[in-house]
Amino acid sequence: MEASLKWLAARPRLQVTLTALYYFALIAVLLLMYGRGNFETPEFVYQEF
Amino acid sequence: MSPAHPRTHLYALALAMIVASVLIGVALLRCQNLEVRYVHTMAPELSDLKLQGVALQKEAFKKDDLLVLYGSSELVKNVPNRASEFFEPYPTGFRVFPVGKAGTVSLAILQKIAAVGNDLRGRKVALSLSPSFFFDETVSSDYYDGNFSALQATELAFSTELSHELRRDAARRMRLYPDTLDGNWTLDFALERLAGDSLADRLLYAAVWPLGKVSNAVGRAQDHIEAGLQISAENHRDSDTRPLKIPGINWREVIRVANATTKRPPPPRLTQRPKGSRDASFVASLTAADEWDDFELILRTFRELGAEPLLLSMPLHGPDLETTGVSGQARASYGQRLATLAKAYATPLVYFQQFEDDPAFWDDSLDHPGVKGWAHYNKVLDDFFHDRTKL
Repeated sequence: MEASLKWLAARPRLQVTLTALYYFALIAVLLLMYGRGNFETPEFVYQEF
Repeated sequence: MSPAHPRTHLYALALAMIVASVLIGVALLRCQNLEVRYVHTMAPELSDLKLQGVALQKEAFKKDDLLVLYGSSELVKNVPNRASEFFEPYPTGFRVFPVGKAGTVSLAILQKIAAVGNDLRGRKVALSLSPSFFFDETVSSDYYDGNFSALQATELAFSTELSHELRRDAARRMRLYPDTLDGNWTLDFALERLAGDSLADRLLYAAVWPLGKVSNAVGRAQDHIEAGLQISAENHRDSDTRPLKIPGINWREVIRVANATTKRPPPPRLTQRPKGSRDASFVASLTAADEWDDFELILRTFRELGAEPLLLSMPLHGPDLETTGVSGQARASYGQRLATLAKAYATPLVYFQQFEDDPAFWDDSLDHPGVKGWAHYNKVLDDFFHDRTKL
């Protein structure tokens, strides 16, 4: 594990890329959770049909 | 392990945000492209997204072969000759794009029109009026709540295309239905400030204005995405477009067939009252009805946005009202006030008063035209669209 981290620390561009992917995944999840619009209206009993 | 470069997270976050922004932009363009391509196909539909969103309505106004018709339950009731179906095969070169459902009162229509904004400039638009909405002093909160759209309301509240006075007067009406503002702090605050209209209110409104515009931008993006998803899910066909040959309509024949095939709806069970015994209360309610104020706000909005509107009003149910003690003289108050307002705003009005005593105009005892009623409506819409007669 430590060897892998050392290996990664020696590659700053890869580090930025992987961190960017992590942030991108977070943004994607947030968009999926809260990004959808709700255009439904409250149900109401319409007496005139 | 050596610590990460202090700016690694900053660079990574910036990169992720740029990629996400580009992807969102591409998705929005794709969805807008779908709207442009399929708005004709979606014209007869009455989905929540079409009625409560803005994107599809805006797109409809950009098309030269679509006529947007605002109204209420008459647009939904499944009756032969209904405008959306009658004009679906482009019999004279256009389709009707209905917007409205049960209980769509003027205050809800006002927000739909205001949300379309500048796309209305110079465009034809028809508005179908249900007289019964004007018979009660207050607008039903169930009707208004059931047709409320936060996106459309926010578009009105932060519109740069409508005057401050118009937004203030609309806000004062909208604030009477607090249930619709629950959980929407930005809109609630903006409407309160608009309605208050003091110097402090104006300053606070200006302070919250950027937040409102961001809220609008998010709402519009969601609207486009939902429209794109709905179009994709419905798997529409490209072939559903205007035919090369426009067949035309023999209106005399359409009206003749409608007259011959129409069925009179069964008369409602009514309590017989002496002639004219309810005149005073009928006129009092009609005179005080809030619906007039909301209707006038629509006319002001049409004028400020530079639209070319046509007003259509169904007749009153003459025999039913007569039976329940409302005389012709009292009933005439509706048409008089309608004509006065239409004239004040130089808006063409077609009021089908000549059918007031004709039960065959209707599909039922409510504000729902039948086969005959729709035939006459359609003729007027066709004349309006093609500038055939001065209305």
